[in-house]
Amino acid sequence: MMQRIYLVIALFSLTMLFACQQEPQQKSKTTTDNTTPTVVVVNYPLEFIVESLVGPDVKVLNPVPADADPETWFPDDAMLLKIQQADLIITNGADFADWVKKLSLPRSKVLRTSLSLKDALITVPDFDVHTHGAGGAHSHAGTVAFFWLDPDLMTRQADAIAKKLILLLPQEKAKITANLKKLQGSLLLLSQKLDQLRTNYPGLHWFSQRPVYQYLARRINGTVHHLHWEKNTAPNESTWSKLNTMQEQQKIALMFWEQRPEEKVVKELQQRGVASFVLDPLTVKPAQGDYLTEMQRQLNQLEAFLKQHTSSSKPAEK
Amino acid sequence: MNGILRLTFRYLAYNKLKTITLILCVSLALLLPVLLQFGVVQFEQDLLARARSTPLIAGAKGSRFDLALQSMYFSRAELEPTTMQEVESIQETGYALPIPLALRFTAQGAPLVGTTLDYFEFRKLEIEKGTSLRRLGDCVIGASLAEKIQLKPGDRLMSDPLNVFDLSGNYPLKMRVVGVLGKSGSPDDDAVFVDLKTEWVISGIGHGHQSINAATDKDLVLKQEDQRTIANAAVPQFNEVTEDNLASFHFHGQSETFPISSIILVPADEKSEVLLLGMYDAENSVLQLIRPTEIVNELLELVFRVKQLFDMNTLLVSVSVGLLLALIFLLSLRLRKRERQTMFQLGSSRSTIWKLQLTEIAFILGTSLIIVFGIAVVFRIYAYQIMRFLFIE
Repeated sequence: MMQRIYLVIALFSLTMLFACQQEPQQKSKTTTDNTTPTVVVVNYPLEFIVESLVGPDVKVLNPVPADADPETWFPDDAMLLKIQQADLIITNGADFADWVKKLSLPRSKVLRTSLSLKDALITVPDFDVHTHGAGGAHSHAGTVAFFWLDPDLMTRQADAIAKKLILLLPQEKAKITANLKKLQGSLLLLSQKLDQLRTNYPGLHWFSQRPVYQYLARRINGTVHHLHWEKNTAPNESTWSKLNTMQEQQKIALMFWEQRPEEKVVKELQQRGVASFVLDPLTVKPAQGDYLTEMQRQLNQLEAFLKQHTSSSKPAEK
Repeated sequence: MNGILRLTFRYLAYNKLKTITLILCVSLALLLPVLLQFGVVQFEQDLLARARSTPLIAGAKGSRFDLALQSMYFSRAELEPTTMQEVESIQETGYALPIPLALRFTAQGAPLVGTTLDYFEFRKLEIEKGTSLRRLGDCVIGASLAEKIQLKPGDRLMSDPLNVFDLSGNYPLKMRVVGVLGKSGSPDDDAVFVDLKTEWVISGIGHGHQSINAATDKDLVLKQEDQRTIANAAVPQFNEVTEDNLASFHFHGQSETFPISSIILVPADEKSEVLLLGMYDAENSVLQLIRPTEIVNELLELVFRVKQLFDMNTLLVSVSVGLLLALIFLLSLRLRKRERQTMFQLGSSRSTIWKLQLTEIAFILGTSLIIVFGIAVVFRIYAYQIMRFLFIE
C-alpha cells in the first residue's frame, strides 16, 4: 500500500517537473557595432548630394549597377539585405525607383526627399495611361520625379538630407553644414545659368518622350509636351501620324531626349520640323565629371543649340 | 505513529469512493478561488505587459477598447480605417516613430498583420528560421502558428477572402513564407506578418497582371493605341508574387490615401508624447490617440469588479462546503461508533482512536491541498495559453 502511495507521489513530482518549463525569454538583440554608417541612395543625384555633404565619413551605397536603369532596377537578395541593414535609406519619392515600392524597407530609416518639396511638386494629369476592364483607357495623375533638374529643388533636397545626416552623425554637424553651404553655392551657379536661359529664351516649348523635364521647364518658364512614347521603343505609324496632327496645331520645333535616339528617328523628326537635343537627366553617374560639371556642360550645349534654333522653338500663334 | 498511519490508509483505501468524494469536494471548493486569483493576476500581467510596451496607439475615432485590443492583440474588430497620410503627418512632426498596422485580413484563420520592418525591431522579434520580409507577397509567421499549421520558410500560405460569396471582392493571395519568428510569449506568436504593401495587394489596391502582346493575345486586347495596348477584363491577375511577375505589380492611387487600421506611436521622449496627445485631443481631429495602459487599467477595473462578485460567491460556497464537510465527518463518526468501541475493547487508548480520526481528516485535507497546488502550478505555467484560449481565441 505504502509503495503505491510513494509511486503516486513520485509520478506527481515528475509531472510537475516536466510542466515547470522555462517561460520563453526574449533574446536580447545583438547590435552590430559598425563605425562607418551606410547610407543607401536610389539614384546618382542623391549620391552626389550625400558625397558632397559628408565625403568619406559615411559609406554611400548606390546599389544600382552603372549599366542599369535606376527606375526599373531590382536588387537581388544579398543586396536587399545590405539595403535593409543600412543606417539611412534616402529615396527620391514621387515613385522613382520601382524597388522602393515593391520591397520591404524599415520605414524609420527611410528619408523621402520629396516630402521636403511638397509645395513645389508637379503633378501631371496624364502621367500614366492605363486600362483595366472594359471601361477603356484612363489616365492616372502622377508626380514628376526629376526634381534635381531644377537646382533650387536640389538645394532643398540637400537641405533635408543634411538635417538627417546631422541626426545620424551629430559630431559632424559643423562639417556637414559647411559642405551644405558649399554645395548650395555650386548649385547657385547652375541656377544662374538657368536664369540666363529664361531671360534669353522665354516661353520655350519642347516635346519629351515622357514626363521628365517639367521642373526644368518651370524653372526657365518653358512648357513640355510629353508624347507618351515608350522608352527604348521606336515610334510606329500611328505615333508619327499623331505627332503630325499635333505639329499642324502647335509647330513645336524642339524635342529633348534622355538618351541619344536612333538616327532614323532624328531624321523623321527633322522632316516634321523638330530638332532633337539630348539632355541627360543624370539618373546614373556620368562617365566623366560629376553632377555639377556635367549639368553645366549640358546647359552650355543647350544654350548653343538654342542659339541655332531660337526662331522656331516657340509654337505658332493661331 | 506508523500504526496509526497504516490503519488510516487502510481505512481510506477500503472506503475508496468516500475518500475520493471527500478529496474532490475539498479540492473543488479550494480550486475555484485559487484559479480565479491566478487567472486574474495573469490577465492583469498579460494586458499590462503588452500595454506598457506599446506607448501610444492612434486610430480613427470610435471604440477605444477595440482600437487598443486589435492593435495589441490582433483581436477581430471592425475598426474604421485611417490613411497613410496620418502616418506621414505624425512622422513629419518628428515627435514619434509611427508604425502603421493594417489588420483587416486573416490567413488560415490567423490574424494577418500588415506593417513595416520597424514593427519587428520595436517588439524585439527575432527571426528564428529563414529571413525577414523581402518583397511584395512575402510573409513571416509567428512561432506558435508555424507549429500549428506546420509551415516553414519556402512554403506557401493563402490569405483568406473577406467574403467567400463575393466574387467581385478581393482575391486571396498566395504568400511566400520567408521566415518564422522566435517564440515571444505574446500575440505575435499566433500572427502572420506581411509588408503593408502586400496587405494592399490583398485588399485589391495593388495588383499584377501579364503584359499583353497585341499580336499573340488578341482575345485579351480591347484596343491598340499608338504604342499602347489596352487590355480587356479577361486579363487574369496574378494571385502570387514571383520574381518573374514582381515588376508587373502596381498600385492605383497615391500611397498617402491607402488605408491602414491603426498606428503604434513610439514617442521620441516624454515631452513629445505630451505634445502628441495634445495635438490629437481636439474636437476636429480625425484621429484619436490613446494610451494603452489607461485603456487596460479601465478594463482591469471592470474585471476586478466582477472578481469581487466571484470572491463573495466563493466565500459563501466555501462556508457551505465547510459546513457540509463538518456534517459528513460528524455523521461518519456516528456511523463508526461501533468500530471505535471495538478498538477500545482491543486495547486502544481514546487518544489513539481520536488520532486515527484526525489523521484521516488531515490526509483528506492534505491530499486536496496537494491536488490544488499541482493544478495551480500547471495553471500558472500555462496561464498565458489558457487565458488566450479562453478570452482571445
